[in-house]
Amino acid sequence: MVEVQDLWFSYDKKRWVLKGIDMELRRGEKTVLVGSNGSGKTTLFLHLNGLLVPDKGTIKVSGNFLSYTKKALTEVRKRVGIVFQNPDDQIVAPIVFQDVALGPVNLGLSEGEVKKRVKRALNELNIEELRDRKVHELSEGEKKKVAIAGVLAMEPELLVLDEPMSGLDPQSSKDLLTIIDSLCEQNDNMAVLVATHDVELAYEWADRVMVMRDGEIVKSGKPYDVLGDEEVIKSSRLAMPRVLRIYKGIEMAACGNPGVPPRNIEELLKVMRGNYWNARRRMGL
Amino acid sequence: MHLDHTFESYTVSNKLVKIRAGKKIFLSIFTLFIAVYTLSHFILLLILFTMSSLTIWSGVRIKDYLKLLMIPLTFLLPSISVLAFLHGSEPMLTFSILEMHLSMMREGLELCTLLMMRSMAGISCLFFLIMTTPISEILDTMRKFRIPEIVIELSFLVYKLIFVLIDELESTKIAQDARLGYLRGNRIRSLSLLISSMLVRSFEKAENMERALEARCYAGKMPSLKFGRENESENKVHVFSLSLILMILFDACLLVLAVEGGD
Ligand SMILES: Nc1ncnc2c1ncn2[C@@H]1O[C@H](COP(=O)(O)OP(=O)(O)O)[C@@H](O)[C@H]1O
Ligand SMILES: [Mg+2]
Repeated sequence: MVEVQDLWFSYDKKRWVLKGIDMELRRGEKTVLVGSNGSGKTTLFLHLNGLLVPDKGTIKVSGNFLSYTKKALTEVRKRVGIVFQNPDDQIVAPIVFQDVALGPVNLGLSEGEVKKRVKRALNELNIEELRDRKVHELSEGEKKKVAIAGVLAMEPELLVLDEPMSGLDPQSSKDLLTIIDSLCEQNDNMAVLVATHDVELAYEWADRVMVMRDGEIVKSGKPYDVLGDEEVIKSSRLAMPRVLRIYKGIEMAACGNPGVPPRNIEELLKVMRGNYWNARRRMGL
Repeated sequence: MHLDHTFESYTVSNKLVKIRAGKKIFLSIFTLFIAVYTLSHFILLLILFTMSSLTIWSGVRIKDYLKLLMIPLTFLLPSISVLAFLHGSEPMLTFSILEMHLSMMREGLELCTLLMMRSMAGISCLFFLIMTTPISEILDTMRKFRIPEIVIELSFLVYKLIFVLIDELESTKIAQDARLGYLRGNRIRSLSLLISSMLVRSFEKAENMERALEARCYAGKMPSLKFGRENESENKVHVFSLSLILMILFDACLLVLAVEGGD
């Protein structure tokens, strides 16, 4: 869907912020980009729909190289929708439906089509009841959903979310994750890319994890392989997900524990209970 | 707290929202012309009083109205009051500060009062417009009158950015107050820091906003309110025309008064 090859970029032409990024995003896959603050996640995202122009390297969207003419950019921005970190920067209209309609209206769609898309986007995020509400009265979590709906109304093939959980309380984060999951299910040829420094989230939720450090992608692959790699995690100023750390601990204690590594607390508890009963059996209790 | 959204929310929830934008624009612009034209204090006060009470009646909280009023006043007061010392020849009051003699002139003072009242009347007309009419509707009307697209787009961005600036000013000031930045002696330094950090953050915000708009293919079009309604009903037709008649009457009266007694 999107292919990035050897991407180099610098804001001030003195210090490289992106240093040769290679990455591929596939349809129907949930990719999480983890990296500490300032590692270049946002900068990378801004390249994906042509908001920044690379100094070197290429970006392919749906098989076509990005070109930076006005017409081509509109086409790309239809395909690649970015939800920015701060919804207050993104939401410009005073009423929810008005903001969600912004993208479709500017694409020149007919009135009926705009209404249809607004309705569908609100429905997919489960916020139909917010439709006529004023944006400034909404909670942070609701604003976030409105911002996502505004992007979704353009029916992108790649949905990019920059730190979607920042500023949300745990329950709202969970709700948001569930909603993103259901979005992926409903549009099974949509790719999702999420930036975060929350390793727990990345480990539990992603199909694929990429770790970014100082403008480079140092490792990418299955969550367990990437986030279980102590060296990579440490050198990127991240922490290993807690579930994984505990699991690795007991795995060693139990001298090898074949099977699927747990991805969340519940699965971890199951493994621990299993170990406990095994141990009891071995001791003949 | 986002001032930008506070004020925009008035524009979509006030009692006059059903009246078409064109009429409100007509009322406020025409009244504004009268305010510029007339020399009569009475008419100016009448305009100021009518327009501001109309705005407040429509649902704007007085506190917010005054807050917004403070913005032009901070620029107007100092610049206009200087005139009292510069214009005219008949001194009324003379101060001497450090060997300098400053005298306030009668003519100057009169000019000052007139200008002040005229500005306030004009501002009340424009406030009426921006607080009762959603920006998207104003832009649509501008488009109908064939105003160049670039002007329309600029108006929208300026409208947005003014509030960005005010918001940043407020939050930076709160941060500084919290760290006791305005205690004696720190004033000037704090103020210059306030302004520079406010500018930097406003630039950042403006840049973020521009990117977010670009990412959604923004091409100068604000969705109008009609997308919210399943089937647009114009069931208040008689109210519409009544309101138009009222507006025309109001302006006609003002105009007659201005022409009759305007010297
Ligand atoms: N507009 C900008 N101008 C100059 N430097 C910037 C700008 N935006 C970000 N940077 C720098 O680029 C680096 C990467 O930033 P960013 O992409 O925002 O990282 P992340 O999103 O991972 O926190 C940082 O060192 C930051 O200081
Ligand atoms: Mg970032």
